Amino acid sequence: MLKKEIKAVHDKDLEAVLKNLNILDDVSQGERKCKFCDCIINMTNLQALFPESGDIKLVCEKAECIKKMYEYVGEKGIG
Amino acid sequence: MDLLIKYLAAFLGGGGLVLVLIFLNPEKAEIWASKFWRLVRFIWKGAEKKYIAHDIQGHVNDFNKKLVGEIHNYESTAIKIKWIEQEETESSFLKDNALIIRLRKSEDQNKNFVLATMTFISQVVLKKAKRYISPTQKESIDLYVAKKFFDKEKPGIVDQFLEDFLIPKTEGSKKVSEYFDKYSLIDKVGLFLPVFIQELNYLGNKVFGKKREDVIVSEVNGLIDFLKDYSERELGQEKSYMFNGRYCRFGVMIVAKSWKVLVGNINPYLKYAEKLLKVGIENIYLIGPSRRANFDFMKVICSHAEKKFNVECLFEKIYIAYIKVKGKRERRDNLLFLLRSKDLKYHYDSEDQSSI
Repeated sequence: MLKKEIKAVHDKDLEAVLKNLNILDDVSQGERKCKFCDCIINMTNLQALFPESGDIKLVCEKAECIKKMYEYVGEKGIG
Repeated sequence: MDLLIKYLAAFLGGGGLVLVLIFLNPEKAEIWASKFWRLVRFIWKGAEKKYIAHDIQGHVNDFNKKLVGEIHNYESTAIKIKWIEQEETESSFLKDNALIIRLRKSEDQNKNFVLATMTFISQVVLKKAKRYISPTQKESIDLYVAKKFFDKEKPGIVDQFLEDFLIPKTEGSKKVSEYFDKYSLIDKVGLFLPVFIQELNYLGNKVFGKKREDVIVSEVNGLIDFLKDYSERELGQEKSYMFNGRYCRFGVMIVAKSWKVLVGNINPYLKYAEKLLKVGIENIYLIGPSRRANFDFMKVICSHAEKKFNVECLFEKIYIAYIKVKGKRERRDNLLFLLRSKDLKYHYDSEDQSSI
């Protein structure tokens, strides 16, 4: 049987993980935008993150953005 | 099976039997583990993430197992939630090239469940075929498979799925909504997974020298319309069903007339199978009522076909179909056998593609 790992971060670890990724301050200060709709990302609406061209892209919780994210990561081969 | 379990219980004792059952059904064991951790999380914080992960893994892997029973050649893929904690650094994250989803506290487990399931379906189900089909075809298939998943595995969270995904997406795209409606009709006659998804699964295993998404996208549209047309047939309606596309070629052979079964004459069916194979049909689905006599008769057709033609009988299953009887749908328990040609073409180079 094949195996697929889904990487996830739990709410309680979110701050620490963002801090390690060096983006906690940006997110707290509203300086990061959703990759797909350009809305400001905060600790409440952040839904996913993925790497792209040496940067970390963030995605908000809107269904439309999550849909676009699935298409995008599929096309780009992001696991 | 019951008898086997009794013998095992006598031989191994209760504890041993539990271990055997866990070994045979790890996904069920995970679902039970999630129920345990769900209670424990109130007294031990460490149980929170165990509950979230086992709940998702158990149900997704259980559904995977069901897909194996519905689709021949389905590559079952078990999921595992890997928690990212403090060890993830910026450089390791950028190097891993992986998506990280956020799962919320267990009070929001319905939301978590829907998100993780959609991640699984979009990245795993029909992964190969998704290289060739259109974004709306992909999206509508993911949504319909997800709907079937929630109906079977967690009916209680259908509302969350409707709110988060289905309503926004079907309202936002007329095309997705139309596809979704067609899948629902195909599913009424029980052929969404064992024929439609099956054919896409076979299509995904084909390799094309040059990309011709436009051709494949319109072929998949034709496939959907063909099966929708089949879903509207009246019980007893004699009609030949053959889909002879460029890359997707199959026929449906209905074995339902009780007098034909009684007489036991398989020749008309073999002749029809021969006709289909001669025009390049790769798969023949034999469909008929789930009766003992019918099962035996269909089995005989398949074994004779295997001897006479270059085909193999790969799959048999019982399924529920709601077929039109004077315009109203009635439940029928049906049988499906899949005869697949051994003379298959998997690779289409650019010359093949322009000549088809």
